[in-house]
Amino acid sequence: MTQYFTSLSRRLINKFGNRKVPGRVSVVVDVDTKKIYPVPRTIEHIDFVRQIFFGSEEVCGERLSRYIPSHVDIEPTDNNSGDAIGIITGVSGLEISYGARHLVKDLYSAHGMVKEFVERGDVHLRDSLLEDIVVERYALQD
Amino acid sequence: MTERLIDGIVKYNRSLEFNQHLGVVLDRIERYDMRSDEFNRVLGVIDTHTSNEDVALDCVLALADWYTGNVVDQRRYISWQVLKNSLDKGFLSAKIRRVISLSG
Repeated sequence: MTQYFTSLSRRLINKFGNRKVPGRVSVVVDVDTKKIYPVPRTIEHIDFVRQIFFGSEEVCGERLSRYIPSHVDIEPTDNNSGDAIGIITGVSGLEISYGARHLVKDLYSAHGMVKEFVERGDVHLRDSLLEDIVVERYALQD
Repeated sequence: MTERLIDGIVKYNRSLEFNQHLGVVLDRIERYDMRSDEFNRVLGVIDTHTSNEDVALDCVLALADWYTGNVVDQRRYISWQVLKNSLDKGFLSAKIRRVISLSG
């Protein structure tokens, strides 16, 4: 059973890290429950969201808007703890191919939740992130 | 569609050189088809002409939207993934590889 996590722990990174590119952890934020779910390496977002949130129900666009993808890029450091160097929120296959759209306020809320999620965890969140991006391309008007 | 794509891609980069390169590539693309070699060329153009990741991301998302928005069949996502899997990553920068990986 897939579980949510409350911080970007070493255990999470070991299990879910290096998704698609080295150092990346992809998560989905449920903006209603404020829970954060890491996406497994071998599963696409749409399949993951269907499995976790919809079960046997048909995937519905309105509900889909409540699940926001975010990606944390981690760079190794000498002390082996790692630095979070980038957070990008609001884009995945859900938006590009399945038409998921999100409220702008939810995108920023999710982005903030992921930052806090990283800060509570086992990697250092760089003060000046190389990428600190909320993608508004797939946003709904508030 | 080509114009729409170019508009999206050059939104933050209006250099003449960039537009010319991209225009040549996109003018050769059929409406519902993009061969892997064309895809690789477009990605190469974006890679060469974007200096930072957020601009590259904007360009790649414009391309992804253009492509998935114009594939006729219901398997557009699969089709986009097949195209992505055809990428010759050897000649692309880490910047583009990170960005393309965000697109599903």
